[in-house]
Amino acid sequence: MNPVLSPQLALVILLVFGLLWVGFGYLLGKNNRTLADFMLAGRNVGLALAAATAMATWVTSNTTMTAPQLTYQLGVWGMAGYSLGAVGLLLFAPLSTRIKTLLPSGFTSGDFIRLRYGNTAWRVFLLISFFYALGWLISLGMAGGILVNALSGIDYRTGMTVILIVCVAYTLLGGLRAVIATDFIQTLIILVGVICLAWMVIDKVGIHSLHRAVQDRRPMLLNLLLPASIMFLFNNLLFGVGEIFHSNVWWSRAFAFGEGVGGKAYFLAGLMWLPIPIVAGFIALAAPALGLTVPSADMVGPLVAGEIMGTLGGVLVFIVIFSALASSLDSLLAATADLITQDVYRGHINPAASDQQCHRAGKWIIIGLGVFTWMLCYPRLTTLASLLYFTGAFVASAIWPVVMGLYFQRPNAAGATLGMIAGTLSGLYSYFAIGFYVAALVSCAVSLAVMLICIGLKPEQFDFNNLREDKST
Amino acid sequence: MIAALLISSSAFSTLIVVALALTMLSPLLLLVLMWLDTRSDRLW
Repeated sequence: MNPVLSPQLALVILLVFGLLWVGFGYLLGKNNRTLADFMLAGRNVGLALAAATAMATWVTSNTTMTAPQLTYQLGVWGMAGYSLGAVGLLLFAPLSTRIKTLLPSGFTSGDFIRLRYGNTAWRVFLLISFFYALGWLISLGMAGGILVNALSGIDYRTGMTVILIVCVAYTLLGGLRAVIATDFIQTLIILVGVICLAWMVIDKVGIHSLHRAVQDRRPMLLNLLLPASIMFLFNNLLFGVGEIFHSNVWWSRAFAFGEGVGGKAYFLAGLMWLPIPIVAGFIALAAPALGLTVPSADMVGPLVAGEIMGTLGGVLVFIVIFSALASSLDSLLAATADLITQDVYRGHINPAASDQQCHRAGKWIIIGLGVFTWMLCYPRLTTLASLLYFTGAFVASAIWPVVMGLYFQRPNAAGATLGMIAGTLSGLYSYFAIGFYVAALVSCAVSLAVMLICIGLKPEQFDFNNLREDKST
Repeated sequence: MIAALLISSSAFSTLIVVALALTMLSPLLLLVLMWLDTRSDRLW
């Protein structure tokens, strides 16, 4: 397949936007005085930036590239099912408010699990979190290299390296403040880019003629009773909820948002995210009307954009995908570095560490994570890219320990620990024995059952004030 | 034989137009919120 963009033009775009993000990170980093400034952007982020960062982080390269691919493979349910990923953001809205109320001085999701369930559950949770974060980091790093290569012909390793260096640099310079501010601009770019592309498709092809062409040539894509699509819908829903509920990417934002902002921000972000996979996915359905031969489904979006808008379409897709990648990669780098700094360095290695030492350690950890991700992405092993799907079994096991622990007194440490372990193991078993689409479902159900049994056997009377008593943060 | 229930052209159009309209509102909403936050000094 021919790239839709010349390597020179793609390199110029990468450099211009890369310099813009890094410069922004540098400027914003100058205001960081304390550890809370660096890790949590001062704990008082307003609604506009909060809603934009929540939305942009959830719009990854997957949303902009996989939504068209899934629509091309699974039809209308592919795009509608993908848009249900918004449910995770919407459901996290009330949790975010509860988190900020219960842990006003918390730093990470690990803080909550440690204070609510004790050290054993905390360590199991950290393993799940790190495994997931690693899977997401590798999938983003590799997606960066692969997409840059597919769109412009730039060597995979060059593209992957440039994207990683840019994201590490501005996260390092500006901390969460830079991540959130760049997310705002990246959100606007993603939204405007997707709108322009969809508008051009409607203008050049028309919705009715597009529908007619699909009905004539690939009618199954319009079938509302496609079983594979319906199964995909449920798995995607649960996987998304598990990802958001447990991951420090979302918890650190709940801590960073100002008083009364978190709930509104996550709700707005969910509403804004909801139509994006439909709009991005719809572009793919223009392929039959345009008479395009699609060599691989994952390139259908850029192909349609290139066909309709020529070089301008290629540039637009490239900028949208770069923004989507950067907005997720920077958040993940910052949140994972926070988790390692707070829960591993301060929690296990140096409990007496001052805020200043943690600040310094956090910066080294961001660099280390960047280098580690680069090393794992360098060989371009496809098995590594599928790691993210594998983590569905892990993250879904943490849904109930988080939700029940936040709202009810009776869940106990044994239930949370065993629930996460049994949920993960059964999810993994079903992943291999049945298929990827049941891993999250089984893991979530088993974890719930184990927690309920433990509550029945030995209910706890947890005092939520204990969550406020953590002085280490 | 798996049953087929194809989405009609008008339902499909409605889905796309509503999704596009919502997506178009989002940047405007964000800019208005940004303006309000800046005006009341609640940006950060």
